[in-house]
Amino acid sequence: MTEKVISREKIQDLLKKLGESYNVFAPVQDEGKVLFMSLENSSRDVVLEFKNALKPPKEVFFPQTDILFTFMKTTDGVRSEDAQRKKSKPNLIFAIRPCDVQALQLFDKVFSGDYQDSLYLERREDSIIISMVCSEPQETCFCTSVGGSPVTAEADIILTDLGDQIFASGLTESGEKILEDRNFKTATREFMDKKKEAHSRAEGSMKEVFNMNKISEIIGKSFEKPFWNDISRRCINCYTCTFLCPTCHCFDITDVKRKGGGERIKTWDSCMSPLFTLHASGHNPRGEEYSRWRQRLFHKFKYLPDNLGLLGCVGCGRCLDTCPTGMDIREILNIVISEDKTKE
Amino acid sequence: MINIQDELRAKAKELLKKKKVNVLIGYGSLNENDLPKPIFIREEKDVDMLVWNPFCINNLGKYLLKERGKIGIVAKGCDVRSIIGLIQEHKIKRENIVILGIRCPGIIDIRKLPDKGNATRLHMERKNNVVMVGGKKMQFEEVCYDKCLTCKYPSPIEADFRFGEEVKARKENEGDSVSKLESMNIEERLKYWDARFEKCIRCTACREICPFCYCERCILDETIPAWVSRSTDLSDTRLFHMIRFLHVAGRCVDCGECERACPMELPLRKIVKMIEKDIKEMFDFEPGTSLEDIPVLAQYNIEDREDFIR
Repeated sequence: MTEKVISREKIQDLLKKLGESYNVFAPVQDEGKVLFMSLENSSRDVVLEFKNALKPPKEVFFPQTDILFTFMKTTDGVRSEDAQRKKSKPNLIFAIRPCDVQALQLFDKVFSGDYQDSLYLERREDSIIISMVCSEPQETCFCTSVGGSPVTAEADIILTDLGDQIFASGLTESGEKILEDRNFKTATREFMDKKKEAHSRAEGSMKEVFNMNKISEIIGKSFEKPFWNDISRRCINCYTCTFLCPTCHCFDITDVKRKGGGERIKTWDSCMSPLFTLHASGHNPRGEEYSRWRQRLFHKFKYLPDNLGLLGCVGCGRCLDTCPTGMDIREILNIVISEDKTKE
Repeated sequence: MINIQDELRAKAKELLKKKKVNVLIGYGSLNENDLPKPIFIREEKDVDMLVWNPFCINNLGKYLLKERGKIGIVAKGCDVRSIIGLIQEHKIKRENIVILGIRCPGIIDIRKLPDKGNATRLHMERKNNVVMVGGKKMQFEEVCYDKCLTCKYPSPIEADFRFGEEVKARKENEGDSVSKLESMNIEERLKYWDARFEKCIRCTACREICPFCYCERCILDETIPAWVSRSTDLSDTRLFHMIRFLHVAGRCVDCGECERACPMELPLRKIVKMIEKDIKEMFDFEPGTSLEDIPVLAQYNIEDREDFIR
């Protein structure tokens, strides 16, 4: 593992150079919010002082709206054309938090399972992930409770903010190659110690908010329990939690009319919507609001672990932080877990 | 502040005990670290979860449509206006609800606190117009919701019980945000909104949180045909918001919930204010201010302006 440091003011220069070979996505300020945006044709400054981006960078590989093909009326019928997808430079995500990296591992499994999703895989191919350690996790963070860590990630490079200097560890071949750039200097003992200190401080600030032991089994037994209606009562069934979730990956395919023809599009979908399961007959197996909340929990903590061996939650806390009615997945899981204990 | 909370709990206990209500919708916290959330109290023993503090922002009126029977509800001045609106529209009956109205001096916007107030919230004190945030003195005006700055009805217009001291109405002076937009030409305005709508993720939080978005079938959800596509193409997102706002015109009471619920922090109240102004100028009507009113777009007056019909 190569260990280097780069001074804070050299980051812009580094990103500019990386921009020659990659389409770089990095956290930028947008009217007080931090969002990941492409630096291509953008003059925005990258921010490193952020807790986490409001929206996970999942859309780099899985955009909210993706055009599959277009169709148009011609004199001799209908002609369809694959959407123009010019394979430009590979994608690079800079300063993505470890929880969001963990979510990408789930995406990789989902989109390259029985069906190889070429749209996802093309964008993911040769992509570079540069992660940034969470020196100061938020009150809403709970990555360590779902098997994650604020300081490690399956990335190409992992950065640690040490103030004037940023510590960089190369974890893969492509990561190490990037560290050959002359903006990086060899890390001295002093910086290594500082990094270690920062890591243990970050890890020490995390609390276990629930016990994941046998969670899939516990959740599985709760399907018919009477509490679902009560605990999801205040939920208004908007899609905020699902759309801002780094692991939520459900989508819908619809046609949209455009001038002279139309497009077949793939768009994010949400299990919070009654439309998600509405049958053509008019019947809806998940017509009740509580059943949709239950589904969200089951998918994340039972179906995904059972089917793919990975939890559908990485503990980023976005859902509870942005919920307009204060639904808190930690609270709900704890109710399910404690109800399981009391009933036996 | 503590007084209001105690009084609320006592009243809630009484109402549930005497079976005057079968559910009480209020604000609650499981522990004191939590921000208050909407809660539904059905039994006397749970009344102690009920809280009142300067973070009780949700407009609980939305939940009146979810409950059955006799419903008790905690409502601030602004929220009461939407409840009046729902009664006018025959969605609920006045005699079926018991309003625990709060004279509200304003609510703190956690987005305006450093780190969303996560670290400092618990040590916050408020004395008149000064708020102590983590040892730092701040003017209440710096940290409260924008809507509270110009609140015309801090004291509930309609209520069965009232709590808290009389609060003076603030001066209506939202002119700034509206006049700035009005002074723009169409191209500039489009540019302004497109730059914001581009961020919209179409999560529908603005619709779901709105007390007046109660339609069982919504045109924005129709699939055969899909009048508004799920695509986040600007043309679809513009349409999404235009349709929603036109449907609440003349009914919207500026409770501000759409803007608060929006995870992408779109300035939706700017549209609310423009609509409010139009309704006032065209029909001299202010929604949700009197139980006797007929909703403005449900009545016809021979003097109504018609010059916009062409």
